[in-house]
Amino acid sequence: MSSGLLTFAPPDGAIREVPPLGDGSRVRRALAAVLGDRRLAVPTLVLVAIVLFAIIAPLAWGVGPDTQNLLASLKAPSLAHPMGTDQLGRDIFARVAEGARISLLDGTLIAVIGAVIGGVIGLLAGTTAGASDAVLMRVMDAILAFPPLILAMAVTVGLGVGLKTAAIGATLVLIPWYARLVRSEAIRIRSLPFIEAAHAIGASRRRIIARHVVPHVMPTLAIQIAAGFAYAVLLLAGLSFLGLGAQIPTPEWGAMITDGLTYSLTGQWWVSVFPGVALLVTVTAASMLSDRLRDVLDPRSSGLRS
Amino acid sequence: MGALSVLERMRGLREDRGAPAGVRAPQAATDDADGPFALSVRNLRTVYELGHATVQAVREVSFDLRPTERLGVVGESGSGKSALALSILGLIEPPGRVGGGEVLLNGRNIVGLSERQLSSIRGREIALILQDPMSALDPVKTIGAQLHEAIAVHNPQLRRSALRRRAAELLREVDIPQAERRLDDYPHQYSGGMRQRVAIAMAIANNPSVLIADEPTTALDVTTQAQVLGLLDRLVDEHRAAVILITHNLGIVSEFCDSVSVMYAGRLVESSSCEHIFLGATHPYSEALLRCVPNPERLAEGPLPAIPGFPPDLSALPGGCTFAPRCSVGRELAVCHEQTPVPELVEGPSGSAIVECHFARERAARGSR
Repeated sequence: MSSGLLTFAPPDGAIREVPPLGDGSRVRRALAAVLGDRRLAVPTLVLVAIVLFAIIAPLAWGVGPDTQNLLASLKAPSLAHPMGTDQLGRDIFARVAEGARISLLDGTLIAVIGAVIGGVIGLLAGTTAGASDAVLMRVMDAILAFPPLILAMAVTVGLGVGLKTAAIGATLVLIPWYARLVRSEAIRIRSLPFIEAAHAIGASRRRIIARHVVPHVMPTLAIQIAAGFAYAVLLLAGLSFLGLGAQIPTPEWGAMITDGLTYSLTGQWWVSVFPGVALLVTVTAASMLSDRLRDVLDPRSSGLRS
Repeated sequence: MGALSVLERMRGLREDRGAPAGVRAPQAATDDADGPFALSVRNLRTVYELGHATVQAVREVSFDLRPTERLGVVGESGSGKSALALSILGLIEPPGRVGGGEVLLNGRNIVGLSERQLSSIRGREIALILQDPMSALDPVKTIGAQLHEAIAVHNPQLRRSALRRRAAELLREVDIPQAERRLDDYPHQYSGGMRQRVAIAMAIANNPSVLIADEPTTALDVTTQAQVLGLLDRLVDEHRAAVILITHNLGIVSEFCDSVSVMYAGRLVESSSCEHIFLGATHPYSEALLRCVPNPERLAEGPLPAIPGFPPDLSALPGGCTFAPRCSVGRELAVCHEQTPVPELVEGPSGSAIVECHFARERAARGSR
């Protein structure tokens, strides 16, 4: 609760003017709400740090991700190379930073595009009962019937191995998640009295969906986008790890882990471990964020105070 | 007064055509000597098809509403009152559907119109006030935005500033203090009574000629109830709207309405002026309903009587009169269980009524109370 919400009578008996909720900076209130909640603030700050890292490190660091120096191959972490170097003498710190850029961008794109496509499908299914609902949802069920990694692999291989096709595969995996979620929310919201009231004032079906159903779906969708982002980053890294996603010399985290596996056996652990840690931190932060968002945004879970 | 005109017309019809007593209602007439009706409902039927059963929520209901007339529809829960309201507006959702009949709104049949055509009528010619003001407003939109919507849906040419002016006017009209400022509030910042006022403001935003209020005060406490009713009373007068007030509170009917229809198991079993019902209800069900109203003068008679039994299952209606199993008059009479009563026009000491009861005439003649 922000302090502006309640009116207290000060000792002199005068009632303080309370600004209406609509006033004041929304951004500031949102910021205060996020930072005031430790379980929301920590994953948010970690993700912000990774984003800054991905933006600043490549600019500030003198060595590029693809600069080879065979004289300095497989060097352990030092001041010159904080994360060491790989077999071609490339600086792993620069490569992890470049990998962060790839993972964040692609993860976000996959999560958002999946949410838009899945969201539209879910809205259509949830607001038009009957045949179209049944057809759309059976298609979604069919996609869900495949194990996610197998499906993504099949799509990637089918379309030609590469980061782009891996991203398409990951998007396809995510679409039914969103569609099912949005559909069930749309059905729940559609039966609420204010929707009937909107019908009664003569609002058209399309208007009701755009103005009343969509805003109510957004919080749930936001939670799912955060979760979808974590999953997409992991899936992309997994595909690259298997050699189906990013190809050499792209510094994608999954591909870098594969790259370094051989050397891990001979003691040069840093080649694989640092991209692995980056992946772990990113995915964990995103899932923590989505979990906490669910507690805060979902009116049905009473987890706000816990 | 309005109900009486229906009666007169029915009487006229019977005399003219020598129609048998089984006549339901005049066919598709939209006006009479006193001018056009705002709303004429003809043989309206609404069913819910649930696969294993068909629920008959509204069974061949007919009535007329003149401009500015106020009709109260009373009945128990599950008697089909709300289904009637939604059927008139074309808002019945699957698995329910309107199975037949006509709804003549300002002379035009709106049953079977496309969703688009209905949308242009709802809110502009006929509007609905829902029972629960807590959930009838979208919680994530400001009051102003929702009023804007109610206006803009039928006036797409209005600019934002004009919408805002009109929204503030509406809020002032329903007695919300500091209207301009409170436009930016969200529904949770309003009290229940204020929210119901907003719902009323949205309903009258486009000057509809017919207003259907489905238990508009049930969710409010008694003092707020009185304020909201007073407000509705004033606004309906000012906007010259006809009203169908759906309620189970006979007190509200007596204060607010000109005429009253008692609904039981999807039928209007007694329709008359308010005076008739309150001074001498003819149908045993209306009479029983009135007995259930607490009355300080009758405290000495012991505990408040209840109507025995339950409303019938609308998917498996008993043969004969649907009220017979619970009726103090006909519970043990074969005729009540075997023959369906037809609507009959009767003259009571305080006016005439249309009553569906085998004993309507004799009961009306003696004045039931």
